[in-house]
Amino acid sequence: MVARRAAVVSAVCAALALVMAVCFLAAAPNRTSWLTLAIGVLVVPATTGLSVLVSRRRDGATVGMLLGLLSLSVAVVVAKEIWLQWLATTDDPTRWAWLVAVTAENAWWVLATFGLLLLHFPDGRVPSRRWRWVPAALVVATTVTQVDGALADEPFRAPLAGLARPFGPPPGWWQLCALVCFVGVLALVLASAVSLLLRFRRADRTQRQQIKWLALAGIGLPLYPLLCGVEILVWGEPLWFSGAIGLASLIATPLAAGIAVLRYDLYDVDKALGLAVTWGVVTALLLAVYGAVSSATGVLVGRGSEIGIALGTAAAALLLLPAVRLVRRAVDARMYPLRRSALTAVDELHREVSAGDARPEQLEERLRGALRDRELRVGFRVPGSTAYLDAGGEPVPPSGVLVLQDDEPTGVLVRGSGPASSELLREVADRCSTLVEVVRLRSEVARALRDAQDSRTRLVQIGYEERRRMERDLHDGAQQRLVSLGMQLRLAQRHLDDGTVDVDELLDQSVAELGTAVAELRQLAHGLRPGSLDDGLPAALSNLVRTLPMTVAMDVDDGPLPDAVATTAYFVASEAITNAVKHSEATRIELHVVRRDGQLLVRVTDNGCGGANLGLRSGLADRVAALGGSLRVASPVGSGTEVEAALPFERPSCAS
Amino acid sequence: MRIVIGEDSALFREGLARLLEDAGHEVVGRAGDATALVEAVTRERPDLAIIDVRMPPDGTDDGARAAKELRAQDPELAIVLLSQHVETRHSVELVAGGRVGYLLKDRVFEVDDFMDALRRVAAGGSALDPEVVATLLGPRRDDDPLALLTPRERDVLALMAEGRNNAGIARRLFLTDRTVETHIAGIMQKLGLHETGEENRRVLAVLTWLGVRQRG
Repeated sequence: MVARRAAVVSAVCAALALVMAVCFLAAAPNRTSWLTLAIGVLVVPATTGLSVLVSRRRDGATVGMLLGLLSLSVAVVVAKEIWLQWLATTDDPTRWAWLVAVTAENAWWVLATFGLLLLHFPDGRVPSRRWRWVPAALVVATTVTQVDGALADEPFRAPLAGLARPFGPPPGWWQLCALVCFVGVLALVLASAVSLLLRFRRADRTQRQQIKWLALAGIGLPLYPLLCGVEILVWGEPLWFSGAIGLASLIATPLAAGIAVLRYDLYDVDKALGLAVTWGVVTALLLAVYGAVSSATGVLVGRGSEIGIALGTAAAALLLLPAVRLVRRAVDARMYPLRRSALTAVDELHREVSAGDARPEQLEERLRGALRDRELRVGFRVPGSTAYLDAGGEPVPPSGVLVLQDDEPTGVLVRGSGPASSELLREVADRCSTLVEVVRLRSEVARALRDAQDSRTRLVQIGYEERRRMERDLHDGAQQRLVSLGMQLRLAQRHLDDGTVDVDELLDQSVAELGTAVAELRQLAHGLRPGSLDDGLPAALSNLVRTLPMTVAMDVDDGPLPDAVATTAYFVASEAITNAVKHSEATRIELHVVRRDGQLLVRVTDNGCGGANLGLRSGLADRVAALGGSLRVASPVGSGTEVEAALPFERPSCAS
Repeated sequence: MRIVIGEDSALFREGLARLLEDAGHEVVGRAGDATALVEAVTRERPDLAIIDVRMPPDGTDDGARAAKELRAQDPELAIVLLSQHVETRHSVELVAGGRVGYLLKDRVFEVDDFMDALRRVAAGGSALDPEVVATLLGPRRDDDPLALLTPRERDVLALMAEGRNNAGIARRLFLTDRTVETHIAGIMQKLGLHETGEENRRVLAVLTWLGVRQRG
């Protein structure tokens, strides 16, 4: 609560300081003041906004407060510098000499708050109990440094170099003490940076991501005091170089810290690091090429020539894309091996699949190896549902990075315990969308083939069963009768002369037998294919219902049909009606055969007890499917049965 | 002969019974299924049982199974199996055991031939349907010993396999008994079988040889 309030108070104070700076600038505008204000405007509002956002998070109060203090310290330094410029233009700056002295070294607070931020990042606590004293020591050392700045007896910095020092020179022991504290500030800030490294080693995945964010921006921070020192040692004063590094860090660090706490997963930090280095190298390379080409042309054509500039630009532009690709690959391989190996694995698999050396189903295994994640799952969306299955048919939870094809999800990558970030997974998902689609299409085709194979097997089995039944019917029926008949005729023959047998009666019996055998054969042939179909489907169906013990309401289209369609339609109607008569206890059966959209619809409905057995379906559905049609059986218990077959009787046109 | 008939089709059963009685045999049992058949044979101890291969209760090969059971009970019982279709493997095994016939049902039309087959089986010989024999003598391999036989010898072998004795073969082929003997000696030699004086045993040896060849 306190931390949160402090963040808000800092924000208000920082805003006030900036307003004051603007006022002083308005009173005495000059170049230095404009530059200083520009820095303030770049750093302060963004940092302040982030501090408020971060401090509102449950785990972000301390970091938020430190960000606020950082923003405030920068605002104060900006306001002070502009105030100094203004003061130099007034008549009597001596009146404010004490304040100039007190604030002379307040820029160290920016560094100190930086250090504190590093110490408490990202969870608001110091890395361990051993570090408890560091924040306090840093604050004390910075205070002493500022006091020393006030007491020092060297002249003020420009533009107030002429102003007399208001406080006397400090005693000798104090100078020693101040030197120790100054070195202490630098050492403690450095130690804070080191603490971040120690913390990184012990951190979990999320914290590591957060720390990497800060590292990305804070590369310049430990460099700033060191470079500053080197510049002072060599040239006697700080130059623009260390200032630029410090300023970049100053702007980037609070941003990075904010992102780290708010959305550490916003963007792949490894990738960002890689990109930063890539573009740095590419820029340097292009500048070198541009310089080399334009100066070479300059020598040949003359200095300041437009040809030189044009050629240099052209050379740089030509090199840009290949250079980015090459450098990116090299940088990735060194700094971001995970991304490199994952994308290479996908591309390689692509190539091998195209060459027929690998199956696209191996994607999961390849990614597991490349992303060092043995629990990684790759799910493929089941056509016509929202479920995902892996290549082995096991369900995969949809809680991961989706693979999209034309904005439609086709698969999902689910991270196990590997180091890959969501951003990297997104990139991998993009790269492997074609492979995922191929797997999906393959499984769809395989399923269709399996269905067709099953159906064919069933049809063959049904065919064999029918043959077996027919063989039995022939053996036990007609054949048996004919054999008996033959025996009777033999008997008659043997007794023709002796008169012991009534040949007349025997012949009567034989003819009767023959009639029965013929009838049986006719029935059997009818089971193979009703001969009445030769007169058209309506005639065959009329024949069918005439033999039934109840009336069937019929409405049958009598247009010409292909033989296969008519036969299948007949068997659908025959099975459904026979089933209704035998099992449904229906009192009313209706048969409709109509044409619609190039299909023949055969519908049989009854008002019976429903619950028709599915045995009806297996054979019929396959026969119907063999014609490219579909069979639907609705038979809820207690409310009748409806069987409907849709049989396409025209070949579907290719241009659909 | 005292005969028991096992046949589920009443029409065929009665017709057959009448034919048999007409030929002077005594039909002492008429069974419509395998169980009744076993009972009738056990009770009547007939000279011959004529059994339909396919019978209730299962309607598969109940008759053949009943035949094996009866044969196990009484090795002296003569059995003629009647079938609707040609089945080689098991029929040859059965017939090669002796005192068994295997005939298609419509052989009944050739009444004299049929009665002759019944007599042969009852006398300890065998009877195998010509259709089955034709299958047995079909070509098998290139180095087939059957390829060494002359056409005449093949004719003789087929009739032997049907279970006919030398006189029967001679009558069928309009040959003298001596010529038939010569042919048979040639066949036995070419098939690598030992000559034996007893006709029935010679037939069974040929059948066994043909059955083994069929399986190989």
